[in-house]
This record gives sequence, C-alpha cells and structure tokens, in this order.
Amino acid sequence: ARAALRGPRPLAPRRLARALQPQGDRDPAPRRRQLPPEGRYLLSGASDGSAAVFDLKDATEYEAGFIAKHRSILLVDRQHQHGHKFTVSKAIWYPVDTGLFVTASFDNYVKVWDTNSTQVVMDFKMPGKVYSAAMSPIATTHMLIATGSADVQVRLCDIASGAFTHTLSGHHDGIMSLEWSTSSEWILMSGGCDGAIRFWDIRRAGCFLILDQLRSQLGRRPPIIDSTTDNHQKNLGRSSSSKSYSVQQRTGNHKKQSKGLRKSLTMVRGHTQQKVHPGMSSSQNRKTAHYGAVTGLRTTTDGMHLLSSGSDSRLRLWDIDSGCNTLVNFEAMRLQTSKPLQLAVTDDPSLVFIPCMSSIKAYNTWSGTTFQTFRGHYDHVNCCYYNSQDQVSFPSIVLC
Amino acid sequence: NLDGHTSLEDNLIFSDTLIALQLMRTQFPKLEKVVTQPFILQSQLYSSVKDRTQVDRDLESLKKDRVLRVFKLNTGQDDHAIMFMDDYLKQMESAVRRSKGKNQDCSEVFEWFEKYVLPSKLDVSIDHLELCSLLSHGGDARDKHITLLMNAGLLTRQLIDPNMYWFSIPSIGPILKGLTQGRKEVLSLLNRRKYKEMLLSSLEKTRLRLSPLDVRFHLRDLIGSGQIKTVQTATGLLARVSTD
Repeated sequence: ARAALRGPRPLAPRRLARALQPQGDRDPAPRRRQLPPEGRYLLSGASDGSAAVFDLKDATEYEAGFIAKHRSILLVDRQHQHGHKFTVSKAIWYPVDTGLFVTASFDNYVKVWDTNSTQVVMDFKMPGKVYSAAMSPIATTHMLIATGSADVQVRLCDIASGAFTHTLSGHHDGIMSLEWSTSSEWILMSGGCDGAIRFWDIRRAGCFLILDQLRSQLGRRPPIIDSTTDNHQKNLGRSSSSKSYSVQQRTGNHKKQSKGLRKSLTMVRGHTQQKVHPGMSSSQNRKTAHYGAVTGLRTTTDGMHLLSSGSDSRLRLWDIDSGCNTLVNFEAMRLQTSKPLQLAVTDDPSLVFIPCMSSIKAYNTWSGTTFQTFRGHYDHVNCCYYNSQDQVSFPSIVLC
Repeated sequence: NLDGHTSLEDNLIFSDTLIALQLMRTQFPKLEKVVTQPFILQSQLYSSVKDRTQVDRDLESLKKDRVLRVFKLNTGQDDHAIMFMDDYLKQMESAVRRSKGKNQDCSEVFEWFEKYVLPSKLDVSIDHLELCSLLSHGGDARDKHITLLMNAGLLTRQLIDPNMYWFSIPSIGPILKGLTQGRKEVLSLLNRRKYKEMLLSSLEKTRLRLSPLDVRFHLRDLIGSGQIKTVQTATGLLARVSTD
C-alpha cells in the first residue's frame, strides 16, 4: 500500500501493509509522542484496492498503555462505486491542501478524489498498470500529475483541465518511479524498468540528462568556496571516454571532454541516425543508472542529491548538478526487485531510510555505513516516510 | 604474513584496497583442470575492507591508473570480477594464441584491440559505434573482426541490448559455473544446520564437490555480498546465513 502524510509542506506518499485498518504503531517508547497539528493526516493505499486516511494525532485507542492504534477516518475500497479494482500503487495528497488526493492503481487508472465528499472528481486511463504518480511540491503555475506505468511513456495529467498535457518519451521499458525536483517546478526525474534515470524539463521536448552509473566523481562536491579542490577531484573522476549531455554541466576549469562528446550529440555514424537538439539526449542513449529496474527515487530537500534504488539491490547517491555517481556504497542488502519502493531522507540529509525486505535500514548518507535497522514488521516493507516536524521528541518515522 | 596456509579468520580484514587485492590474488585457488590467471570478485573485496565506499573509490582510481580492469559477470545482477592488468593481458595472450591456432584470418584485430580499445575504454562495456571507431584506428574494422573477438572470449553480448558489448575474461566460463554452484553448496551446507551457522575454522576445512574453487574463495564472496554474516564468539568467528 502507499500512504502520504499531510502538513503545511507537501508530503510524500507512502505505502501501507495489506491490512485494511493498519495500526499506526510506532516503536513502543514509554513516552507518548505528539505530532504538531500539521503533518497530521496520513494517506495510504493498499494492495486490496483501498485508500484510507488516518489521523496521526488522535489515536482511537491505546493498547497496553503505550501502543497507539489509529483507525482510518476515511476509507474508499472496492465497494465504493468508483473505487479501484486492484492494488493502489500510489496515493498522494494534492500538494496545496488536503482537499484532494490522487490514487494510482494497477487497474490502469489514476483517480483524483475530493476528500470531503469521498467522490472521484476525475480519472485518467493509462495504457498499462500504473506504478507511480507524483505532483510537484513546489508548483505554482501548474497542477500536473506525472504518472508512470508499464508503458514506456511518462504521462502528465492536468487536474485543471482533466486532460493529458504531455507524454515524455525516451525510456525503453515501463516506468517505476517518479520524483519532481525540489528546486524547480518544471523538472521531473523518472526511473524506468530499463535501468535508466532521466531528467526532463517539461517545458521542452526530450530529456536533458540521463544518469550513467559509470560516470563517477569521488565524493560529494564541496560548496562553491572550495571550488579549486573540487575541480581536481572532478578531473580524477572523469572517465576519458565519458559522454556528457547535460546543458547544466559546469564548463570552465575542468579538462575538455574527449571527442566522444561531440559525437554523441549528432549520431550520424551507423545505420541508426537521429537528429537531436543540442543539449538533449536521444532515446537511443542506453546509459543505465542500475543493472536492473530503478525501483525508487528520492531527492534530498536541498535538491542537490538524488538517491536511487534498483532491482540490482544497489542504492546509489547522485550529485544532481554534475550528474555523477558519488560512489557511496550502502552496505549489502537485498531489496525487493519487482515492486516500486518508497525511500526517505532526513532533511539535513544525514540519514536515508530504505525498506529492505521486512525491516527498514537507516544509513549514513555520505559514508554508506549502516546507522540502524528497524525490525518489527512481519512481512515485506514497501515504503517509509520521514516526518521531520515532530519537535517534542525525536522525529518519528512512520513505517508501514 | 604470507606463509603457506593462513586461516581466513586471521586474514579477513585489510585496511587498504590495493593490499587486499594483492593478497587475495596470491590466495587464488590452484585449479586442476583449467589454467587461468587469478581474479578477485568485487564482493570478496567488500568482505575484506571495512569501508565499502572507500573501496569503490579506490577501485575507480586504480581503474583510471590502468592498474586493473573490472569485468561484469553474468552470474548475478551486480557481480564483478577484478583482474590486474598484467594478469589480464596474459590471459588474453593465451586466448589469442588459441584463436590464431584455429584460424589466422583477421587476427590483426587482436593487436588493434590491445592497442586502441583497451587503453581508452576503461569501463565494463562498450557500444557498437565506439568499438568500431576505436578498432578503425588500426585498420578497416568489419563485423567479422568483432565476431572473432567474441569467439575468443574477449567480448560478450547480452540479449537485452544487442548494441552493447561487455568486456569479458576469456576462458572463464567453467570457473563461473563453479562459482554459482559453489555458492549454492556453501549456503546449503549452512542452511542444513540447526541454527544455520558454523564456525569459520571448520567451514574452511570442508571440500566442495561442485566447485573447483576453494571454500575460502566462496566465503569471502558470500560474506561480501551479504548472504553470510560473521559473528565474533569466544571460540572464534562464526558464519551464519543472513536473514534480512
């Protein structure tokens, strides 16, 4: 299941276990934790086709004195006239307020619901199972839902008009994960079953960056003040035959790219030929971020780094601006390979949380060392969300 | 401390990637039926050096310094083998000799490969266009040249993408088969035990039936890939099957 927490800031969706009325149980600490009034409503979607909203602030009952149980305050399931028929793979709040929420399901539909009347306001039919849906948390000029399905194109659905506005082509297989940029309302990142992560500027055609796992840099780049040491490091990391496409690439101090660069922009050699706009990556480009499907994407709140999980059981941390793999190695883990995963990152981004089979592992973002493992679920964990708004005690991670 | 036989327990952790690689290279099992130069699996490296991120970064610099090459194997989704450059060139030499022995046609492609492709392409894979353009530096490169490289075992292709060639270690096929089977055998040995664990020292003495590689090779690999965990006990290191 998928779930989303609502607060003054746009919150990310999350998935819940298959139970209809899941327990919102946190780790049984002797103190009661209070969530501030914002960050209060949790939205979740389940594999039985239902979506539910929970109030995290007021528990409906307490068990054994300190385990809080929360019953859903709103539930739409298969019995509902317009409910989903199959697994709800993603449930997200409308970024502006809790008046609307969006659900995406394996029944090929993406539905927009009015929370108060619990009715479907509009729906969008996709050509295949919908794996992911996302809305930009910082959008002020558009109300687009980016959806990824088993089909190779990312579709943008507009709530304002009820129609599809764009399709983004380039992936060679279905799209399992989507993430909007936290620094620009026009930039979308998609992770496909073909192992590629593509960056799209929705105002233009084509994608402008494809992450390549073989293109690496040693470590995260220091802030601009230290740019002299930074360039030296980048030179070390630059492979002699790398092809770079990004217009955002920093030009200037570092070594000129190999002549392979110009060749990648206009591929006239060979029987396959495709003209590309300068700065755009063609769909012929087969660079991969993972050896397998990209199952999860999460960007840091400062918009500088991107975390990706793949079905090759690797987690990679990317420097968004340079498009390089920082080579941080997150210790061995086995990840679920066929389902989209929801990852979480703390705000300063010091820790990342990954659902890993039946536990959640927290890793130190920059060194990749395991910080802690949270065990308590009886079955596979699909998603996790980090709630940083809890100021009373330590921030809680709502697990599912 | 490089005496004849050293226990795995005493030689599990190293502080430096290059030292770990060199030591594991000397400990590469002596194979009876196949003659091959030593190689080290990336997972084995992870089991021997604490900081994995540092390992990845060191590997990256060693690759760029052309001290070693990394190869993607087809035994698992993220399996990689590391070979020192000299060993790889020796392995290539024997493969080339075998190929020339069968057929002298187009064998100039091997010189082109060694002279133009290897020094400039340090990654694990190369696409068709780039391969052709690099080989063309030596002469008129045709499809039959590429076929010869593939037949000699220097390049392979995967079904997913016909345009992409992967560098491979020639004549390594039977060893890889042993790798997969040996992994299963070691894991089943542990899984059959009541608590799915065994002392490392007794595990090391086992002889495997299905793999030409020794137990220590497989143990390093399985520990590094996270399938086996080691636990320190009063009687020594214990190997246990990993649950999560």
